[in-house]
Amino acid sequence: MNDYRDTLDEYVGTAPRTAIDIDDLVHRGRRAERGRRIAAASGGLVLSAVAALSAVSLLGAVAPGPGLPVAASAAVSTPSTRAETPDERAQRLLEVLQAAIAREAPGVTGLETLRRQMHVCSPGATPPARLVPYDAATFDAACPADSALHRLRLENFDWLGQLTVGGVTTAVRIHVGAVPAEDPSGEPELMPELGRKLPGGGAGVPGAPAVAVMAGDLVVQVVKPDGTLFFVGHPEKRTLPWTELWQAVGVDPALHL
Amino acid sequence: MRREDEPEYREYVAARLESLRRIAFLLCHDWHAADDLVSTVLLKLYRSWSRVRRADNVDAYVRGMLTNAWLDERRRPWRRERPEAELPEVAAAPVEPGDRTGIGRLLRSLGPRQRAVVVLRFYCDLSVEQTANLLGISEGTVKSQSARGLETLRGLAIEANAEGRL
Repeated sequence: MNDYRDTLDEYVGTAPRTAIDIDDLVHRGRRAERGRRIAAASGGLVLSAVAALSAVSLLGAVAPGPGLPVAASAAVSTPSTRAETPDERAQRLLEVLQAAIAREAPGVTGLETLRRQMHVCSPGATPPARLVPYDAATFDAACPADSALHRLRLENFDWLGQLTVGGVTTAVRIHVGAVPAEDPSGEPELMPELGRKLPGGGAGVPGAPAVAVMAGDLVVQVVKPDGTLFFVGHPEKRTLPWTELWQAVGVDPALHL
Repeated sequence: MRREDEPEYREYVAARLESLRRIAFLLCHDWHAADDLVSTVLLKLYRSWSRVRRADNVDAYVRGMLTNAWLDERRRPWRRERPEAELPEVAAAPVEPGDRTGIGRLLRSLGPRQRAVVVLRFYCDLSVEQTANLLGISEGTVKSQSARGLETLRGLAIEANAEGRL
């Protein structure tokens, strides 16, 4: 051991206990590998959740109709010790979204029009899938079992609705789902224009991993360290208003899978 | 990674975790940021373990991954929240002989790549050639970037020896 190393070691001192857990690392590593295998097996359909789901939604979305089935069985607004079902998760996320939008845009109307959607695949067609109102009876068979959208169906949630803020009315498509684990930490590298924003303009928790935000004319997207992907856009690929609002909604800590 | 390789990965991580955290701390000067950096690198290591485990010097390779990951983060400040405890990169006050925090001020006063060179050369005991290879820079650059750190470190070490702390 050299003297320089000793000097540096003295500076480092005694390391505090770490939160790094090997089991958690292995679990996250396995999840990442599953995501890569899904992406590879799908022949590029899910090269990234952003590209695939955005394309599907923005090209193939249909407007929700009145009186359509609402996804949800039992609302879950507090943490539960048992596993959350997909329907419960969808309802929780919708409630979080509605609360966050109402908080960020006081006076907003149309929150009740947000309806859960699901993907229906049409192999060989363009686009290969479209959004239709959620239907529990056909949900599991809406996409071929060997397709990526089928595998992703339990952890990806979409809503369409029509909101009015400050006299401006627009249709919106909101997505909350899992970032495909191509590279959990490197995903934002795919988006060079990423910026950051936190509610209230704060600097965030010291040492906390970043929340990556992309705000464009058509889409606002937020990628969280826990793997939650949020994005919102106009279902017909028109300019998306209220980008500040959507960024604030997306980074709401309560919005997570 | 193949499941049969996981025990070896676990064993490696368990054995090297504290060492990697200390190296990361020397780069970040913040334990939260250091742990975040180490987690990121260990996840990348999980993905590439089957290949890395066959390297001639696995430790050096992983330290290179750690240092390069930190340098990448520095190049993309928007990608990650900057810890409040991290001091701005401004010229530091002269290091006082025997000042136990002087080494920290020294390291913080160095630019990112220069800091990486100092840590790899003088804490990880890597050679000029190894450091140059890991960072993708020339050996001459390693030598020149480590010169200032070496001079100051030498002074600190002599001071510490004189006080019988080493």
